Amino acid sequence: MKRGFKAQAEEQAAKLRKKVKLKTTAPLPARRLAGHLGFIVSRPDGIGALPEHIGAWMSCNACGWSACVIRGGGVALVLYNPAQSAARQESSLMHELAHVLCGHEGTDIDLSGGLSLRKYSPEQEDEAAWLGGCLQLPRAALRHYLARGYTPERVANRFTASLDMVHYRYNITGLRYEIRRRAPGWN
Amino acid sequence: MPHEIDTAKLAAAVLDHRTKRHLGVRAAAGEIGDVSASTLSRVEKGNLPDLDTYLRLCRWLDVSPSYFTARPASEEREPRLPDDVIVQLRADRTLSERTRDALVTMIRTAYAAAQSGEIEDEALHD
Repeated sequence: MKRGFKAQAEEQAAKLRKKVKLKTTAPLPARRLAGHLGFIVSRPDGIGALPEHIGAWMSCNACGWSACVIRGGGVALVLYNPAQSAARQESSLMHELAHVLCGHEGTDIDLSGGLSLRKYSPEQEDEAAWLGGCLQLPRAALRHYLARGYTPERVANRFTASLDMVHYRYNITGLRYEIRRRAPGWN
Repeated sequence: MPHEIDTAKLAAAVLDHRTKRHLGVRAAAGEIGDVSASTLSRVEKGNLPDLDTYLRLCRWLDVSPSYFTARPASEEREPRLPDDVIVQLRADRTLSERTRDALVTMIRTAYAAAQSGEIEDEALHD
């Protein structure tokens, strides 16, 4: 990642919360961020004209997709697979919105039927993963709740995050070395 | 439609091109080259020609071979996306053909629905 990117990502998470009139330590739902950025968020069964059998297939775990962003021609739309857990939906949506916020260009590859998909480099994927994590669970917010004796489960619940993500952010932000007294459950 | 080639469109084009130039079947076949009059008649009746005959006919009609390729009915119903539309996808590394086809339909249909305001919106806007 570019020098300074990680710190800038935390700043961006704080700034965006301020813009939508939330505290820097508050959860920022992905659907709120999407709305602020001018995106529609929908799912297969929210698309009225979509044939039912296609909607059903694209709403199951076996189909293999998580989220899809469509931009251009006056449309800004994020679609997600509702078969995912709420936590997975949040992280998928945040990851895709992070690509948009990073202004990633990527390259276009053919899917089929004349459709091109934007593909990102490993570095761009890393940046989106980092920013997505900051947007969903900023360091400042995690520190705030750690200091107040929240367990990992309580934090996960509050921020609609997986336990894995909570522990990951706890470790990767260095908070495990910063907060000495903490509730049980933090590794 | 049973074939990838729109045989009705091909038949109409061949007949139209021949009759506009006041050519009989035999004369037209001679002009096309390496195609018999009976083959040409069968094409004009809607029969599917072999590949070599098809390519010769396209050259005679001065059209690209893709001109007569039939599009699947579903593709006719789905609007094509404009060139400036970007699609980014978060998915498994390899997708089944079923998912790829379903994705194409879903993306195109969703785009049209978003343009016409006929899509449910879960976003919380300012």
